[in-house]
Amino acid sequence: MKPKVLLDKVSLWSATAVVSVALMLSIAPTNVKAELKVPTEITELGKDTYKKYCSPCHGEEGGGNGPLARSMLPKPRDFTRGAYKFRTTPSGSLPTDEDIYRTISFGVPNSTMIPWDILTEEQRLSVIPVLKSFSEAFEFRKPDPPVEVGLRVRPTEKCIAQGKKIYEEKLECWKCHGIEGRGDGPSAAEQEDDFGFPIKPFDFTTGKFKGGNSPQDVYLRFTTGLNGTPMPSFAKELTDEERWCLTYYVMSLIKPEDDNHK
Amino acid sequence: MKKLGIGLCLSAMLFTSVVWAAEPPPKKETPPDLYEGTPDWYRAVYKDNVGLSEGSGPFKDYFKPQMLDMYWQPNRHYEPMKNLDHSIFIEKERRDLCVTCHEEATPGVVRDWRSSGHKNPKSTAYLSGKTAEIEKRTGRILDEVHCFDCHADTKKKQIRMPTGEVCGECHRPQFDDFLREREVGRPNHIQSWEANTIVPWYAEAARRGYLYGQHGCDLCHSGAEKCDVCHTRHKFSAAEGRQPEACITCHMGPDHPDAESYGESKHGVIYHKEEEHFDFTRPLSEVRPGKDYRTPTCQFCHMYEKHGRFIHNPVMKGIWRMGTVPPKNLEYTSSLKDYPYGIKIIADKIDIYSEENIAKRSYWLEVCAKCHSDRFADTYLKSLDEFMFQAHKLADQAQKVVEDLIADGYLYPSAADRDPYPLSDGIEKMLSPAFLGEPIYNAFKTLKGKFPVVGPILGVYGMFLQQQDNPSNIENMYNRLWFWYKLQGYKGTAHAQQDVSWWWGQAPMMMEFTKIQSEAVRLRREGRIEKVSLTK
Amino acid sequence: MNYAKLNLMKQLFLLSIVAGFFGWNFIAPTDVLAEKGYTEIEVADGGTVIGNVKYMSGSEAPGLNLYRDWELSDASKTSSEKLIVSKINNGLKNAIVSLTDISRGKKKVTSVIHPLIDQQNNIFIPRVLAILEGTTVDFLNGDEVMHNVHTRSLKNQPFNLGTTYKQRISKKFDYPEIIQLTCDLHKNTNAWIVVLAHPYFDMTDRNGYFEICDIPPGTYKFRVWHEELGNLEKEVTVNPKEITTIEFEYSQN
Repeated sequence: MKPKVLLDKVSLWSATAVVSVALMLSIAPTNVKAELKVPTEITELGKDTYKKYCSPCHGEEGGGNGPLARSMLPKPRDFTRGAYKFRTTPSGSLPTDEDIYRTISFGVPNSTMIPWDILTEEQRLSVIPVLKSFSEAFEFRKPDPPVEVGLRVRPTEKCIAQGKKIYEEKLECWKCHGIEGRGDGPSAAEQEDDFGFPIKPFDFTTGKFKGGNSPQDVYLRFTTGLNGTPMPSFAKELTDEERWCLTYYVMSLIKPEDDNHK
Repeated sequence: MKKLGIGLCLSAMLFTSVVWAAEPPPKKETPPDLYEGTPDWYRAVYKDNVGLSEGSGPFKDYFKPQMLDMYWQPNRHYEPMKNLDHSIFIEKERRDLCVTCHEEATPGVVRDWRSSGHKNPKSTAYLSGKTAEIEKRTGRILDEVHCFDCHADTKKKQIRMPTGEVCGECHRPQFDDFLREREVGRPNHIQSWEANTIVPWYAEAARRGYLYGQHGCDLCHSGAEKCDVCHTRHKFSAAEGRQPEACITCHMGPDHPDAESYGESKHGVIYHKEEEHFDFTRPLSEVRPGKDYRTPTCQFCHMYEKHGRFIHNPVMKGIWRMGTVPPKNLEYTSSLKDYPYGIKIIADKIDIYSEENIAKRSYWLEVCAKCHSDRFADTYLKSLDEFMFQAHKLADQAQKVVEDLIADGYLYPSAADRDPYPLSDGIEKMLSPAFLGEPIYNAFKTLKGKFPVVGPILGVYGMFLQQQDNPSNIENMYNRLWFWYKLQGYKGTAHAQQDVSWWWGQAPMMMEFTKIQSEAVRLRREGRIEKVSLTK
Repeated sequence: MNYAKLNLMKQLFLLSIVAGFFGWNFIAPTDVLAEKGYTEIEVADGGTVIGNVKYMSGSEAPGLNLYRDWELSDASKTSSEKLIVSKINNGLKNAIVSLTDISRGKKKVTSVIHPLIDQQNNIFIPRVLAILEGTTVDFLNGDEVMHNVHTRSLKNQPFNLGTTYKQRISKKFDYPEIIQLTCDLHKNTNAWIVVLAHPYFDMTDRNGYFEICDIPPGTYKFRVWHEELGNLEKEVTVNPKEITTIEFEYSQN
């Protein structure tokens, strides 16, 4: 090998290395598995942050009835029940602190809950005990350990076909979410959340999954269910492989260029 | 070797920054100013933001604004929301979050914007050309005009409601054209907020507890600073602004039935029938009459400036204007001969045959001649002049009847025995001879408003406010004659709608004149009877 | 301000939240469930209370059943399930009678065989279930279509589980609470699980009868809860080894 070629190769590799390090760094802060220092008690910072940035929608007492909530649909979460939609814990369980932190930081797509990464990490963490203080449930119960996410299978044609079968026959997801995944199934119109507000089944074609867009996020949603909504957990119904297949199938329903959803 | 790789990266970064630095620095240009050339009091009264704590106009101390005025007149009255402090988003310039949240909070607004030229300023060849012009002028790269660009007040770190000045930062030629409305004076769009609040009856009505009754006034008369009255939020479509529907939400009704007269005229009827074949995406200057438009629109005639050029305001070519100002070319029997009575803030009589107006008439004919023969168009417009002369003559006669009645002491109750002219105390306190002229100012000072005011334009107060016995029936009959029916006849004739011209114009003018004469006769008779019985 | 005071305030604050929460959901107040602090003792000379819960509806006199042998729609079936009144004696089914102020009494024995709530023809069977705290309840999907079992409890961990045909789920209920069960796919049905802190309770049968035995002698508050009709309360003195008869009556208004 000529020295010049070698030089080129080495520089290419080193450039790749730099890029990948940079990429990893950019991913790192969003990695929720990193050690979080959640204050155990309510702090002044937490109270202030909640009052300034959360209470306009979620209400001073966490009842989901802040001044801006009036015209919102879906309504902001009512924290008094301890029912959190996006968790890693089983159906009905309280969320872990990491779950709450994740929702604050990533926001909820398709809702007015923006990613609050605009706040400092310390501010975001300080809000967690405030949120928990709104619900008596945190005094009675502890969050269950997170569900185990099984080994990912490959999204083969066969697997997606299996997912389709589960969607259409076994679990009858279409009853709410519609055959094409537009959230317009026969039972869609009558769905209500635990707080008595009408709730629309998710429209998969938008591709903006509320709990996150990675296959693992989608996998978690029907494994843990969405507390406070009619969306149940299918923890008992599906094997690990079936879950991945269903995940890939619903993700295959995304139609990103659909102007109707812009 | 690794070091070399990092070095390469670094040098690449350096290179890009050099490219950025090589961008030409923005050219200096005076910022757009809606109040350019206005006197100091005007800036202070109309521009300085006071929130909802005080009113606008010379009589600002006499009323607080309507709550909605913060949106209608944001320069003066906007207050940022208190529920959610948006300053953090502005400080950190998180543009993405505006859309993320408002896509759900106010989805209509976001979708509207997505379909606008602001979202994709380079989506078509035409838009790209326009955008390139703006980029050159402002020294900015415009791949997207975002919520943040118009709504973020980066100095005060708060949300603002954009005004014409904000639009003018990029759309400077249109802004400058619009600013020229000031040259011809009121009534115009740019001074409509002034027209709303400078009239004493607005503040007087507010003072008497009728502030919100004037909701309708504020809805139209807030066009001054804002472009979105014609190019509605958040699409800000030029094509929309070219359609007659952009005008008619305000230009309708008894004092200027433009929607009715144009809409039911042959011009308007053909427009409605063939609307889908009209190509509103073409700039007015490129419209081919008969092909792109089969009949003219409001904009096509009124925004035609001269010699094939169009101007971005519709008032420049007006001769008779709103139709309220009496022409110089008539002999008057009533006090109209003294119009405008030395008052400095209202327009002088119009000389229909002044050099300027003869020129304007030829510009009108340039438009008409796109479809009509010059002789036909000239004859038509001369007929309009004759109609207006006759209508003003009729109004003059009616005004004479009312004024004679007053002069002979038959107005009942007399001016001394009823409430004064609206806000007379305020007029005396807030205005000066510089505004009103020496004689009128002195009249307010000595008589404290206890005198009758009839006819254009200050006599129109009677249509806005009823105080104790002021105005009386006969005064308002005359108001209807000259302010409603005369103007309806004017618009019916000008827009070629025969029924509006006659049955909304000339005929009711005659019938109102009947009423005025009868009422005058009755008042005189009663007055005489009273005198006789009292002397006995 | 000292710590105790602070703590008290915190509790008051929590209470107000809880009260607001229940009020808003139209669920019966928490005090229908017995208070905490129950001591198990040997009850040798316990008395028995038997009784009857009635619903006196003036207008609805027992009449001919015009719909007998007809196939009823699910909706009409469930609306009658809410309020089942015997035509013989106006006895009210599915009302739960319990003692509210008992602090000492017989041993709490949770059944080894799990009580079962089945979903058949889109309806929960039984509609009402009264259990002692610590009891595990099984939920079965007896239909060949998807169902879900959705609870909205606060103290007991709520759950919302999708079930397919013959799927069986077991859930333990540890705290006294009144819990509503729904199936979001079949909105016209629901069921109730009433979890109580002590064993002195009974659910009325189809003629409105109930029986509570081995009550240590004394005077107690008896309370009836019914999903539609709410609560009734009565003070009853229980004598050793005697049977006392009481009657509760809901009137129409």
